[in-house]
Amino acid sequence: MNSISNYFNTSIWTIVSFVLVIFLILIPLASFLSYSFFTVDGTDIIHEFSLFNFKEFFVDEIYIRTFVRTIFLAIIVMTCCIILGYPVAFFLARYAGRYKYAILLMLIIPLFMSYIIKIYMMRSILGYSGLINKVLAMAGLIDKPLEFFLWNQNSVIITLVIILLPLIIIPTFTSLDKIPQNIVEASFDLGCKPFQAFKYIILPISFPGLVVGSIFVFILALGDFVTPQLVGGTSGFTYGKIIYSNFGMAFNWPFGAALASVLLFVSVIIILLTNYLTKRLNK
Amino acid sequence: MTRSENYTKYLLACLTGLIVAALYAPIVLTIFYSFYKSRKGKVDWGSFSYEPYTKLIFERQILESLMNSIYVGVVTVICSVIIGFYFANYYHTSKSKMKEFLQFIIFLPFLLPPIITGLSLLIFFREINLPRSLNTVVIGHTIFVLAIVFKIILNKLETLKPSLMESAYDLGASKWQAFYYVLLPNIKLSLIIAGLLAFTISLDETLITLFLIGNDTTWPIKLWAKMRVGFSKQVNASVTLILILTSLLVLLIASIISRSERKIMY
Amino acid sequence: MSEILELKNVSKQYGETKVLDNINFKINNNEFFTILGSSGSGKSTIIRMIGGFTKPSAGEIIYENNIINDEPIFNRPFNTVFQDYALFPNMNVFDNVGFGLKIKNINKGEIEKKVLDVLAVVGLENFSKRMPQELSGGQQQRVALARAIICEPKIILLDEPLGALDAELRKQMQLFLKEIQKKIQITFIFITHDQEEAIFLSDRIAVLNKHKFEQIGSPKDLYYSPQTTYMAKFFGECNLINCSVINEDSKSVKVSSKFGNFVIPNNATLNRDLDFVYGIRPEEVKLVAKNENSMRVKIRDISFKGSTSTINATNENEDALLKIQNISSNISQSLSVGTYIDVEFNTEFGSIFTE
Repeated sequence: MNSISNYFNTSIWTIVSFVLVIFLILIPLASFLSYSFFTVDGTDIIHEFSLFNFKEFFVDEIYIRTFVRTIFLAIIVMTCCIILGYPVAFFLARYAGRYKYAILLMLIIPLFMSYIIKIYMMRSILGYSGLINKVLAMAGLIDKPLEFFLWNQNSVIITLVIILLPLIIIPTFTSLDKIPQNIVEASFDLGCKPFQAFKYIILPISFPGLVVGSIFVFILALGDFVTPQLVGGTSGFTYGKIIYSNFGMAFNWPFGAALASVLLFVSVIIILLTNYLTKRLNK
Repeated sequence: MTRSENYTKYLLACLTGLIVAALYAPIVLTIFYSFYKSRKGKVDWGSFSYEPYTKLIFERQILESLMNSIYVGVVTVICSVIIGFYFANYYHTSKSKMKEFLQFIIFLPFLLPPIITGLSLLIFFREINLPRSLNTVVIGHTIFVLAIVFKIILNKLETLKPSLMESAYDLGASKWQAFYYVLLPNIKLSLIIAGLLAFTISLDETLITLFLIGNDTTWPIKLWAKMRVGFSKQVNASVTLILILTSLLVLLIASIISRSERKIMY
Repeated sequence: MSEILELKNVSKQYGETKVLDNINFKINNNEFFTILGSSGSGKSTIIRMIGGFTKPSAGEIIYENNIINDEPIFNRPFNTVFQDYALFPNMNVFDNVGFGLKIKNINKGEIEKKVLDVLAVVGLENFSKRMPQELSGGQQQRVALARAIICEPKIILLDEPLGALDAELRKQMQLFLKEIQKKIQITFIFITHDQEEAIFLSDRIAVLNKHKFEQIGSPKDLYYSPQTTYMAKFFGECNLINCSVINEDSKSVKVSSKFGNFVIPNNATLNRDLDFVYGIRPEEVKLVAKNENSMRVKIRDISFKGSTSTINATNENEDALLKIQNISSNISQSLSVGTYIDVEFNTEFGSIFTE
């Protein structure tokens, strides 16, 4: 009679929780996976096992090409987020003093602010007559507006970086903030110059946090379909957008499910791989 | 501090400033365009007006979608906090090996791309002939935020000493009395934080909702639909109001966290 | 003995708060030098300044005749053993210990040889692949020490290194530190708040009180010739008695006190016109048969401590207290509270304070 679980009859309790998990998460995942082996006839879905969708995926090279391109896009977004996010997290943890949590909060708030609006407004920032072009023109750097920023891959990358950046700053800051000052002092004491202290001590200790953030950014960038829809134009479409269109206008759910199962497969492999790697690094 | 370290510091401070500016630029622009008109990228500085805010009450569709979003958010909070507490409690007290597996499953919808969660629920609902509605959206949001709610409550439970409940029983409390008078007051803050966070996330969830929404629309979906025809100033005004609400929610969460941490310290 | 480090008129303040006020001392080569003070006395600040982690607000730190105030940390030939060890959590014991050499670009073979040597010195040769988190407090302590020793610094700075250990382990580590310092012949500057530890380990001790040094000297000096009443009470107990001079001859001075008159050896520094404080340790008060130099005191309480006992006694008016220690319990047994005894001071061990 000494544990919290005694409020509830333990066996019923276990059954309820497992039923919930199975019905809300596992069965939907299973039905989605099984759909990828079905086919479609007009508006009817034929519940029979077939590898047709996967054959399609491998035969029509546009899918693989888009998938590979989307992976590259996600890698670029992740890399940009690391390059911009790590220094910011580093600044907050080591130099921002008593303002660090206030600034961190400022960086977190946009994460919860309307996703759609942020993407939409990126148009008026990146567009032909947008903010960036206007600022560049006023500074006399360009004669006529650049089309570099909108309706292509670049705009998708820039928008995703702006949206996902806080996700990398938060875990990186947390792991940097936990490094005790005396460990850094000890490295100086043993002869490290500032850069060496960073390379041998600060970077390795904060690495797991950086990895967690990077994975989040990578997976969200990989699966996003709203951003390419809104700022990508014709050349900026991604794998996620193809999946989504199969559930919308194209109405080919089984094929969409098959495409998504490839995405799921890659995501799971990446999650397991990083999990394994960070555990090995920590040993 | 050496001189080169000083340079590094200022350089990093500038970068941080730029990043903050970039993150807020889309938001600031939205607020700006709720007050000013622009034509072909030129701002009409004379056009300042707060009329869109007063006109907002006539925009039935926007208001309806806002009410829908709040309904979904509130129900999601109730479901996710109750289920999240159940799971956290189970994980905390059970010695079964299955609990690790359970935790892994709970985290799946949070770790996988939202598109996967969205379409697997969509297919599942079709198979069991459950028509899409606001309630299917609630289910989607609940399993998406469950991992966060679970983790916050679990972290709190793990800080409590086992002797806490034992002494309650020792003093003659029944199970429910011990829960109500001892456990609940001690984990109250974590439940509030988890609930507020779940609400904030639900309010803006788009990617899963797009798959699960029926004929009613939530606010982000309304924005998504309006985007094709371009935004009216009333839409910008509604966005501004929601932005204020979200920031207040996040600030509230932050202040509760920092206050409860201070309480632990002293 | 040659001198290796000097602090000259060093002060440190943070804003308005003064942490250290005009600190002066010199340290000899191969010395075990301890800075002893209570928490908040500023003792850590002293070695943080020597190590280069913080700069003095005024004064000079001189190492082998060079002022090193502005020398960056990594150029100073000193290494620090931190209070909570500050081992690198991302490296195993071997890499932690070898880190200082790796930074100096010494080749791998040589690093390996040296690390194994040093680990053998600190008795951790079988632990080289362990992570710091997997070691006990005492073992972590040894790794921290090994990490400092291997760089062959001129001075090792130890910032309360034993503070986090339990009593038993603390004793072991004290012995270990003392032996190792003799073996490797490096100057140790050690910080502690524990008097017994300081006395046991040190060649010399500097006692820090209210941001200043009270006295610097060997443990024996500090115990037997305290220069201030603070020092007299710092190590062990001391009866402090207000006295004034009655008369003197070439050999001795007769003084009066609340306990009566007594004679002390003549002392040139004594100002005959001023009252002074006479310090006498409780064990230097003897019970005697009544004679012309003895003083009569009244027993207030007797506490039995095994083979010896301690007596607290008062004067006739009961407004002054005298503590007497190391009375054989055979004798104290025959005494009872409220009765009178006659005592004399071992005046060659007394001290005179004229502040």
